[in-house]
Amino acid sequence: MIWHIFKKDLKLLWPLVLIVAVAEAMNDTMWVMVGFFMEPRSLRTIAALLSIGLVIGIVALIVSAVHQDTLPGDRQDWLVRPIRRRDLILAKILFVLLAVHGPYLLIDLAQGMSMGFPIWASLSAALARSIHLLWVISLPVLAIAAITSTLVEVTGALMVIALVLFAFITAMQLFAPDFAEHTFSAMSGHWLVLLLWSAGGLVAALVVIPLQYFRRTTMTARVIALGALLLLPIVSAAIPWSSAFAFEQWLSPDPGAARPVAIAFYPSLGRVALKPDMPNKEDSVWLPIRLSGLQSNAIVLNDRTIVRIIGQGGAILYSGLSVGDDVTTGSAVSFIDAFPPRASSGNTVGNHQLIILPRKVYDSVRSQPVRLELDYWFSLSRLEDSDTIPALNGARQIAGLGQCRTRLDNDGDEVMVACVRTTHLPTACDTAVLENPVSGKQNSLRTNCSTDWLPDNAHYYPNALNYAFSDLAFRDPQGLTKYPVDSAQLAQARVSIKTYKPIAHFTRHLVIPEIRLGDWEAETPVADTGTAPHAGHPKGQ
Amino acid sequence: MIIQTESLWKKYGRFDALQGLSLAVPEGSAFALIGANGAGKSTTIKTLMNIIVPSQGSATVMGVDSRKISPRELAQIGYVSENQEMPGRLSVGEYIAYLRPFYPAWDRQLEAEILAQLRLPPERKIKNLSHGMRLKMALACALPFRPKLLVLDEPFSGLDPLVRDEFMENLLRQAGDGMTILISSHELMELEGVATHVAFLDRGRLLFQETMEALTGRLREVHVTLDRGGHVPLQLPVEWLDFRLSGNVASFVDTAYSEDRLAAKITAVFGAARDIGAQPIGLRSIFKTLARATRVGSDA
Repeated sequence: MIWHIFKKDLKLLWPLVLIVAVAEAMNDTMWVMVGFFMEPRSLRTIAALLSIGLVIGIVALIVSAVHQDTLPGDRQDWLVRPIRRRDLILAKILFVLLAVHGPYLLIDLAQGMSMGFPIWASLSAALARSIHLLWVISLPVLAIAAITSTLVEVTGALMVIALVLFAFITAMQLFAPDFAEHTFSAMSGHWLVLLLWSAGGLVAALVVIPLQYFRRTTMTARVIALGALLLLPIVSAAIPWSSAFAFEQWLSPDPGAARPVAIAFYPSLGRVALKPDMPNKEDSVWLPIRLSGLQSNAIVLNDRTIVRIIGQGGAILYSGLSVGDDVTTGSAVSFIDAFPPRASSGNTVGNHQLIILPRKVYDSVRSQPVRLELDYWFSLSRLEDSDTIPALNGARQIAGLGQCRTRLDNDGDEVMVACVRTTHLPTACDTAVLENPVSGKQNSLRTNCSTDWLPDNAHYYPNALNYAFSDLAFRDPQGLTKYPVDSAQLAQARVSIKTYKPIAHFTRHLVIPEIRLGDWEAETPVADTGTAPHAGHPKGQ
Repeated sequence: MIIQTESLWKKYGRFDALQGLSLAVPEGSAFALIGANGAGKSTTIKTLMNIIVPSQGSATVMGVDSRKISPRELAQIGYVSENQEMPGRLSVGEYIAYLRPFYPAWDRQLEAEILAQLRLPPERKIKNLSHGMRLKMALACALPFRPKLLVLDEPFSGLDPLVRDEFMENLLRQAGDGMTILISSHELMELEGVATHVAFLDRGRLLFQETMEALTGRLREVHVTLDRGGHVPLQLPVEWLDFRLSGNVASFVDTAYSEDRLAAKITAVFGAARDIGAQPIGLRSIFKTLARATRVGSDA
């Protein structure tokens, strides 16, 4: 009878199914039209908004399907019919799979193929998105629909969810602003907390759905759903960072690879010479450090650092994150050129680590000798692949990044590199540099890094594909910067791309028995030569 | 017994909708569940159908615990309720076609006959049916599989007399072959010629249940013309309800009527009486008398 019930629901809801499918087809068509470079910007904005709007369509569709045979209440005709509850629940799941996910799968498949990917690669991306959609959105929504009887109730439930999360985040910010120091809430681009919440939501859905369909104990099911909703943020705030990091370590493909890596204070590196685009707060210190024991072509990302400043009498003058509250926004990696080190050759790399202290603390410790203790949580990545692509109008398959394209930007001062892939395995970092293979000259290295270590980072938004971008400057419209590879060399220039794969997560402890922090403030900014390392930005989807 | 309940309780918070209800519905009977609004009739029926779960006590339907009623039992039970929610966007024909495969005993010829008798337009969407037509629709969905048990929860509510008559006419035409009917209603005229058994509920309690024959046999409306103008005696027999005195004429309902003993009882209460008349009363009057009496009893 599963198919029979499904057909009834489809007969009633086919207009909505069609509307959502057409909207999804329009959305994916827009993504195909904006192509690799996501232009024009206006169309990209519309496509991005439509992708979000489609979630509402999916929710409405699933809720409508479940509410055809509403579970709470005592007036529904189906309750007195010889309909097996098992058949009913399976019919609803079948509806979700065929009428909601089916069109999505086909449309995502068509989008992948339209972007030039083979059928199997496109299908795998479409399936990954569909599975992600199922466990993050569809099943939890099905559970919410099972404990409600009208769209108004569903809207109320969704508002309660939003309100609880908002209240929780606000409360934590107001009453426990340093919670990010001690818990994993902000860890590694939030992937762990998002994983926990979505897994918790799935578990709650898998309890609520059968409970409602087989027992129809609406009050109990609602209490469980609400309990999960309240419990998840609390649990995520209560899990200590160290436990979460241990979980990351457990996931490491090659944890032993970090064993030889050592960290040391490196005063001979001297003070940092700031470039115009580097942060230079008055209360900032650029600590010279050295990492040794690295294999060539390794990248070390700093998940976070806890800094302890101890006075001469042994009193702790400060203990906190090295970059203040910035870690909560996941921007710890935005200082990537300052820290972490990148080993292109040899096994030792020196670099400056930015430490931002509260103004009051810094003023009090700036000129006095203190003991500095630093606890590091690192992630090590090693070179996975490297390849080159012509700087202008290049089109090439690059391992780890997928299909890549290059072109000149609209202002004529940057080479745009855009890559699209169908796989979802994490790439910790990718680097791109504009180079002239004849002269051997190179411009600034552009680095994109992400600390999303999810083993499979399948996603719903904005579509089934993974996007990565880099803009490589070769001309300064103001004429302040001279680039080794300039406009005249573009015809023969190429972009050298490297991808790095995360292999280990590890901790290190550094003690500097005596240091005067004021000695390590940045020197006066100097003009960019175009060859020094250049600030990067977090990798886009 | 096709339905049996033992000390059935249903609580909604602090409110007891059912208070230890024990009921027995014989197979093949037309069992009327009567009582004022809020007496617990619908709660009883919904508990029997496993739409709601009892707080205490037990109920069996066709020998199965009501909480464990499975599609096998439901395939033999027809259910019609005044507030039954059917998929409004399906047409009459589509919904009947949807229900058909769920019932192994569904008789398509009977279905066609019932649809014709009820004059239900197959192409009309359920949401566009009037209240009366929807009840007919519910009946049309409850009969074609020749249910062993037909449960009707306030089926006449809001129906005009014409539709009510049509409804009953069709119902009676299809009844028989050992079908048991459990019907709850406060529209008692319609039950008069149908019910074989009656149970009277008041605020979740069963006041009595008996055959219609016994009930109508033991209740009489009595008019007594006294020799002289009288006054209301201080003590009346408890079985006399709804006592009124107008001049020298006393009226009451005797709930334990016995032709042989009536005159003696009247003489014991009033002394000599000039004339005594006892008439059978209809179910509606029975209900009104009993309802009034229980209300007075509870107020006291």
